[in-house]
Amino acid sequence: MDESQSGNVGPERVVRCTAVTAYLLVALIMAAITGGLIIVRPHLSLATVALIYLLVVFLAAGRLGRGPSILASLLAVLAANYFFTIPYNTFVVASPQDVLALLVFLFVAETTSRMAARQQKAAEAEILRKTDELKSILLSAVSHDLRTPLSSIRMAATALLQQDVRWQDDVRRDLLQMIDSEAARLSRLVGNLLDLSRIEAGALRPLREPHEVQEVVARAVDAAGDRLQAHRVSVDVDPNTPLVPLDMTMMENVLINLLDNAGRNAPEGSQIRMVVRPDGANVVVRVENDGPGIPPELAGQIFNRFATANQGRQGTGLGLAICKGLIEAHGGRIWVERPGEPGARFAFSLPVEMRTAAGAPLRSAAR
Amino acid sequence: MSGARILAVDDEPQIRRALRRTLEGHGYEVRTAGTGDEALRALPWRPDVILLDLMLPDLDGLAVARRVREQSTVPIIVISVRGEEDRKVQALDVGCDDYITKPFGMDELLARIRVALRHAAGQTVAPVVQANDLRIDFERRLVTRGGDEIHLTPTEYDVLKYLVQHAGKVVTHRMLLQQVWGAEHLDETQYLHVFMSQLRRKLEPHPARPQYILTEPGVGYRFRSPV
Repeated sequence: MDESQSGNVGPERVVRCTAVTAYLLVALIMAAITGGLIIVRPHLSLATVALIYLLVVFLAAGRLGRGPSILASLLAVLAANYFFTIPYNTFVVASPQDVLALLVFLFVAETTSRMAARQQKAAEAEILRKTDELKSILLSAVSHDLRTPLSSIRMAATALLQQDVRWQDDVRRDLLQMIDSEAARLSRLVGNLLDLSRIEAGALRPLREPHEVQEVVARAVDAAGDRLQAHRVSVDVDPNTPLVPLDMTMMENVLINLLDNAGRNAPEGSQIRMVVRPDGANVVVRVENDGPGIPPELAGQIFNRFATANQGRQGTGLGLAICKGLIEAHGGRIWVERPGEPGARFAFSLPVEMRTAAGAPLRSAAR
Repeated sequence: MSGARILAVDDEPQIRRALRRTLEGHGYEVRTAGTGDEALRALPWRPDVILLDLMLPDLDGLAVARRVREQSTVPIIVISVRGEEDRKVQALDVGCDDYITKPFGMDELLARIRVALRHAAGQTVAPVVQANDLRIDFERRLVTRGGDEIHLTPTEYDVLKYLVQHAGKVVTHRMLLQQVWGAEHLDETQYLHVFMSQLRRKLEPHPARPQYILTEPGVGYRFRSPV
């Protein structure tokens, strides 16, 4: 690609100049600067003028690329000769000095644009490398998450298939239940992945209808229940909590992910507490456990994909990223409370009124 | 029913539950641990076999295996996943006895446990091992198939002997190289590939689909346990 087309504005900027606009821009800037310089001409030496033009050539090369900066060089030499060399407003017969100046300008234009292009290429390569890295992390995380329920299912199913054992009724039932709940977990994982790709594509459209938060909480506790057998789950909903416009399926998914996260990190036999409180124009839901808690340095990034507080690689860290995406699609916010202290506490707020069109994030969600 | 004690170490509660349910159904006494620390604390219970997941939230599974080995020779069967070949080999090299790959079936797991218990019981290899029509007579250094003598070179015989002595268990490349060629040849796995292919041509009815000497990809070989 020609550098002039790429616009050379760095990978993080989306502004892209087409070739024509870049050349036009250079011509306009040169005209404006020349106009300004003519006004203060009596106070300028030719050297100052040359330096100012050189600066323009330099910036054009870095920002707009080689072609526009060469145009800037040519215009600069012509303007310097015509407007700033005595006698003014005439072209002086080309002197060796002009040729030298043009060469210097061209040299600056060439080397600067080359350096800028190289930098941009390196930045693009870095982005590609990071994308690749993320993809492979995602793959290994997902395969770990899928394999765990698959393993339990296979173990339970092959056990039931064995002919040399007579399973007692309660054991048989337990094994079948395990197959059922682990299959449900697999299906939820696949749903999570779908949600994630929709969140990333900006294609999430929550169907928000007024619901009792208590109902959503109860459904989530039921759905996550089988995996929380080793924990006690307490639910405390303020009776004054208003109806909240929410997408039932999505919010259930948020709560299941939070419960799942709590179940994985809290010691067996401990309590997982869910607390729902109205808070001004919002309803705030808190899910807390007696696990090791979230280190302060992780509190900010725990909602990023693949972030997970423990190194044992339990869970992909996708769950919390999905929670964040789903809650923001409701105009809400999610955060970690009291980071650094034992016992993780996740909180999220949902606006009680539909102040925005569905899906538009609402920045002013109060705490 | 043996009633042997099994310590199952896995970070996933569901896997622990499945292991406990199924193994108890087979008459084993089962304890579970979700962390490396819990696993080490359960050692005084004197398990007969440890099932060890390498991915643990606190201690690395390999570190757990090393710590166990400092105080006990209890057989350790590593529970691993595909794509962890390097760690699997490391685990075997620090003294784990075998491994099984998730998701596995109960038959496979039970077979591994039985082999581990048998080896731990110190059952020495019988002077004569018979597997289908293959017969290995260690006293007379004689290998026959269907009554016909098979001529093996001394190295081929040593390789076969080592595999058969560990029948049913995985034997890593390093273990074989160390045993047969010596410590200075630990990295020369190409030796092994050559000798295995020769051995299979002599022993196996269908060398391309071996029934005695099985390949454990990326790890080593396993002599199928004679039934």
